[in-house]
Amino acid sequence: MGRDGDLRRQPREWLAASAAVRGRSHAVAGGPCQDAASVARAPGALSVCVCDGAGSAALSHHGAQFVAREVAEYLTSVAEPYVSGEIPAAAVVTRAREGVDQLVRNHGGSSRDYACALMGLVIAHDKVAAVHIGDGVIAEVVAGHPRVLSGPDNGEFANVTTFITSTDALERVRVVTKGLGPANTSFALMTDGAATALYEGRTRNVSQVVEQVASWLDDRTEEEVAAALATALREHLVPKTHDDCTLAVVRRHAPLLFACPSCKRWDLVRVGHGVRRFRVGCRACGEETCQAGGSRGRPPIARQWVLHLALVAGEGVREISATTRIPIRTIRRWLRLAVRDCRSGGATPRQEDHR
Amino acid sequence: MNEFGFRTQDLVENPSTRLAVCLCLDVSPSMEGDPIEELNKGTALFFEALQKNELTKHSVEIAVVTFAGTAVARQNFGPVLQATAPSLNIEGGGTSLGEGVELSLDLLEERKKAYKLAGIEYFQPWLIIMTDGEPTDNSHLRVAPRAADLVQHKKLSVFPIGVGDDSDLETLQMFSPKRPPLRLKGLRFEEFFEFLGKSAERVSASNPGDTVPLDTEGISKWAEMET
Repeated sequence: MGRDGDLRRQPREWLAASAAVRGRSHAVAGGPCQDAASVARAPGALSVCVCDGAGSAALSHHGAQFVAREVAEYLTSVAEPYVSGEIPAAAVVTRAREGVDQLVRNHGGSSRDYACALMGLVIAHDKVAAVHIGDGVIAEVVAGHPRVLSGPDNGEFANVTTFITSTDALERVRVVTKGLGPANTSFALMTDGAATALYEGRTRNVSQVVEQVASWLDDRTEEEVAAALATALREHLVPKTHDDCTLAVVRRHAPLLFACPSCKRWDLVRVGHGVRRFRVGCRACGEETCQAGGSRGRPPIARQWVLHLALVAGEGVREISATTRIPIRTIRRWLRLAVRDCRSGGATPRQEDHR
Repeated sequence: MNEFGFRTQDLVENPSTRLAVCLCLDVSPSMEGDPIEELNKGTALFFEALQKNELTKHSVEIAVVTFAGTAVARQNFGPVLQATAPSLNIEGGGTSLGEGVELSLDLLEERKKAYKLAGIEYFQPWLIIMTDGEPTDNSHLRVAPRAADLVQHKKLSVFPIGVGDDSDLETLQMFSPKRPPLRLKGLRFEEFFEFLGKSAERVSASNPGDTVPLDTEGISKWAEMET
């Protein structure tokens, strides 16, 4: 059902993995992948930048790589003032353009040759800021449900968008800042190519796959996930588009989760009334799991699930009782004990209450 | 879930990005005989090529408008896979180029609205105008600025093609401020439509930010080039 965890811990550490793979049209023409992703860290801050080089710009693969690295590092260096809104959103455009100017000086060409769309995300002290120029999607996952944090800014026609080098980039840059609660488990940044299979333009729905992929970071290292992500993109996303595909996922370290093991939605519901065999199913995908009860009643995980619903998902006791089929009285008692444990600083589960 | 697994059924399916192509064709009596036959052959091959191609068969939509004395929509927009090339016949009453283009622009406008409503992405639409003579009315004076305005605002691509030595390229130029009209070499409709199909394929494969070069090598096969 989920991992055991200490409820009182406020995890601040975030993990990230990304992969950029070449699309079919570049593979046919023998050209490079024009996407790039970069992750940067500082104590208490993490940032990710994904760039999608313009197809018509001759050197946009260099532009995307350089700008992604520069902007990720920049966002980390100004993480706190940026998420607090003390630094204007456009500072990222200015920084990206300085990077492009440097490329022009060192490698020639004009700034247009390095054009790319840009998505950035920076997390610092339980706040997040997403900055976006052009197409692609930045998504957040709240309580197991992925949704758009910043959508694509396309022109009327499919092959028209804004780039960091566009004359109106300073006006078109978009920033979203918000506080992070325990229900914020993951973020995803995807280029237009990856969005073909992960974002439905008509409904603005983000695929549940982003949360499923982000959850890989719960068990495996960032390097392992990055390699697996590249394989997944190549096998499942590249066949669906002509464009390069890039996906970056950001995951709260060891999130306390009671999510469906299959689709990762927070939509679990108790199935049946058996106490010794505590069965839980997913309302969304129908997957069912079973937690064997202890000799004295419900398994310990039942109580952790109740605490998760109350403290992380923010549900009321009646709602929790309807979901878990645990009497309201028992739920209230568990919550009281949890509060008492918190105050006394003890974290040991109280065995005598598994009635 | 297994390690590094995800539910492929949770991936989304977005509709293919559409390229609306409107053929606006002259069927006045001067096209009688070989020209109309070659035009019919050319359009049939065009449809066939688009249907065979993996890229264009899901993206291109074609409408066919003919004009003589009046303009008629022979075929409205729809997926190219389900379309068959219309068999075009000569009609009398003049050459109302302006009305043909006006009807074409209306159809394109309507189609774009339908795409927007359905949340389908689309490329800049194409209007192909083919005529072999001079207009017999003044409707083009009224309609040309509308087409030219769309082209100037990057809302439309116009391909103006003159057929035969009597075709009036100056009038065609009025519809197309950017791309100069080209005169078809003899009756090389097939080569022209082959070029059009290849160019449509390039657009269908394009990604955001691409400028799509036309199949310029193909142009010399059917167009009379100034030397």
